[in-house]
Amino acid sequence: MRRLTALVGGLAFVCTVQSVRAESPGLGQPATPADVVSRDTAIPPDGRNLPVGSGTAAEGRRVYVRHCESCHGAIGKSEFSNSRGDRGVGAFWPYSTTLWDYIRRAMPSNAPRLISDSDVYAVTAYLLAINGIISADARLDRISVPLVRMPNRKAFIQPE
Amino acid sequence: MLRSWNRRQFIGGSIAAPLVIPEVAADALPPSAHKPGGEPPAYGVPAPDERYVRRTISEDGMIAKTPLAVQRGILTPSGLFFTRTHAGVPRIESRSHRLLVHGAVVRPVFLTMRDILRYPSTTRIAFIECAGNTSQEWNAPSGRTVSETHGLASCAEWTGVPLRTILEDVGAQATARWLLAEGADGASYDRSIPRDLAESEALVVYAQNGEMLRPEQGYPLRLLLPGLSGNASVKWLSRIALMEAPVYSREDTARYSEDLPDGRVRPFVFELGPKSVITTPSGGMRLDDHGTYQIVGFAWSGAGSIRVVEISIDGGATWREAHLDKPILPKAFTRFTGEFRWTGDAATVLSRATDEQGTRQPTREELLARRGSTMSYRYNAIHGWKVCGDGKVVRQ
Repeated sequence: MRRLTALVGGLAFVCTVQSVRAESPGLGQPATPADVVSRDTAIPPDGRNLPVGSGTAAEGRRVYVRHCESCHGAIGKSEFSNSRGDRGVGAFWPYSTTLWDYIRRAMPSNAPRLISDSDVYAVTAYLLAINGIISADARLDRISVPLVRMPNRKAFIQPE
Repeated sequence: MLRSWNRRQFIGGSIAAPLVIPEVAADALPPSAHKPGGEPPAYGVPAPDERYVRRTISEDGMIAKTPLAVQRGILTPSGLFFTRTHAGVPRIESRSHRLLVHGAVVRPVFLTMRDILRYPSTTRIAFIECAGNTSQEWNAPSGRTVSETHGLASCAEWTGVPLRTILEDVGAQATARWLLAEGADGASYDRSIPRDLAESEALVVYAQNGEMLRPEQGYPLRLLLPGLSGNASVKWLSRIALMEAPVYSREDTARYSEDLPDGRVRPFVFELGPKSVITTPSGGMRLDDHGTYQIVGFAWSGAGSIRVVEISIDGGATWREAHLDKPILPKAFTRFTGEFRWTGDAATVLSRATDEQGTRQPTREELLARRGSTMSYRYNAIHGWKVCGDGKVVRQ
């Protein structure tokens, strides 16, 4: 009986501590896995979150002319040229996933997320091909994009 | 235009002699003393004579710089707070805005603004400075006015919920050492931030200077990371993901990373060193008469409070301590003042700040020697203004 009392006392103590800790208000509506998938579109270097679809540089050139050229100009005179000082895509960007992510996230700037995922693959392929990073006939998809080795990756210091 | 606000700037100092009038005639009173005034507006605006106080908007509309020369105290009015957007200012309705918090959490949730307003809140004063503030000085001393050179820094009072409170409420796991903050603007602007940097002081902010955020400041919700590079204080905040590694977004890599002199690139650099600038006299102003003027300026540091500001009026040959106005708050503008007697000779006025860590604002030469000339972010060198023989104030 004494042991039981001690046990109950101990439980009461544990419960008190827990209730102090559990003061969190517990606000918000639960987000389902489907909610998260629809909103979490960021593409880290491992390519997680890349969607289905694919495209080639030749297809990408057509997309570029239609959606990109009016702001970015003809290739070779823009920030995609191979200039490290200008932080150009080919010379400076450490991950191809970043390029894919940014095109879908923010481009074209007058209608972000307008172009299809396959068109994003195609423009990515075009920009990487004109920089000589992938071959002109390569087809990019969710498997191949994270495998592209960007020339400047080694210059980036890994955070601790 | 600048000359006109110059005059206004200094006219107060030149009418020091009191007028002695033995008998006050009714006619001598200003016209306003002879009639009733108008009703106050429901939402007040600056006096008509002050309408020239404006931000300077860049050609592409993505940058609005604070007119620091006419900022009279440490708090930047909300309508004059600098703005940098990556896809313009979105229109977001408060009632439909939701913040998704997910990733390495026990309880992934959508938080509405009603939810956010129920959390325990806090208020503090903090500056925000764009990583690119004063960046044109990396190449060569340039710029005309203090708004052009330093107008990507402002200071305000912020109200919101400590990020830690929200992370605790959703059960953020200890293994998640990074977080991604993402905005609901047209660029879905996103930054990966080391959690230890973010969690210590970060606020999820909904109010600025006592009212709900202005649209261009992130309405209805933004992140505030006091003392850290402004690009981490993501506006129109709509998603926080707890992660074990950074996403390496475009802003994490192609922007806001630091070129080291040896050719390497360091991403995720957020620290802002001690910095100060004299706002009066500053570029574009003109001293009308010889005599005494007050030097006014602001100092700030991402590392904490300002300990001392020194002023030189001889181009850095000799320095003396400026007066610091209270309050002297960590990671906030501190207003400093000093006296300047202008004899009519050309003179160069400089200021340099030292923060509570003992770090002193470097000279331009020291900064270039340490960080190289390929940098484009986080410039914090000593800045000077030259008062010419004719009273014009120009870049040193």
